Amino acid sequence: MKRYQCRQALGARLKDELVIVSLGASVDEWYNAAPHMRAAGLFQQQLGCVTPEAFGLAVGLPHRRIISLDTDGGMMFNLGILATLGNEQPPNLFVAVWDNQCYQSIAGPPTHTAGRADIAAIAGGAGIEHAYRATTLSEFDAHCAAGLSANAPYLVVAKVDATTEPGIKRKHSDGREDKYIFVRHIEESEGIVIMGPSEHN
Amino acid sequence: MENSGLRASIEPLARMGLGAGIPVVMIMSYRGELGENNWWAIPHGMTMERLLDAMRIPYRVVSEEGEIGRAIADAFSWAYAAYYHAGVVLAGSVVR
Repeated sequence: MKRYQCRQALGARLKDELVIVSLGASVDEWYNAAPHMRAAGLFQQQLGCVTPEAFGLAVGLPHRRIISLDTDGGMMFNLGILATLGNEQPPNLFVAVWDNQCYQSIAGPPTHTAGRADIAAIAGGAGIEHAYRATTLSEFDAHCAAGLSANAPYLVVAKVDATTEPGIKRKHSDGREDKYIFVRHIEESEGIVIMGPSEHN
Repeated sequence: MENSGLRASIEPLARMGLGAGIPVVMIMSYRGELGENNWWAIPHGMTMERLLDAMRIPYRVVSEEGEIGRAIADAFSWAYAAYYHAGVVLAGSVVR
């Protein structure tokens, strides 16, 4: 299953949601697969805190659907977040885990999910009732449809190839610029102030 | 959190704070400071301030209960101005 096609399928379903994006090849692929969601995505190049940040956002904005685009390496770095989701049950959080079964950015040594480890099964054991694996694009798209309308935390592990979509546009901004873009998008769409002026100019 | 949590949190703190300017305000106990009587807490005291310094995270050690509220408010003010992490460390005299 091609990761980029999964991203396009998910992106086509999104409009007003907020997205936390993981690291590595995920960044430029999401930037291209869902260009209408660029300002609504927090691009952070982070490992182990993508879903935790999405959970915090889901708690802070309970009326809004939050999407976490995590990875097998990132999720295995911080499995404790699955127990947090299992106990807290954020109803507005959809987690997609891109599981390419390798550390792609360091020449591809296998992660544990290339062996017997199953993140969806771990999530189910942690108390996330809706935790699934998808191995085809149609399966993944069906989980997106279900997860984006669920009233409980929903996690789908997408078993994808370890390939990066060729010829896509590179994102030029860094994490700081991306943060400001994301925060200003939330401020505008929510009618709130998050990063306001200093007391004195 | 207990200050051992600072050690466990260094990776995301570095990425969020140094990389993107996303602040985290931390309130932690000062396990392992002078007066500590648990052997397992000694490493927490020996590493906490060095880690905070290495990360350039400003912090205040609070040893009087009446100063806790002001310290937390000050940490939030600083973090919102700097868009970087800040810490409040509760001394053994407060938490033991």
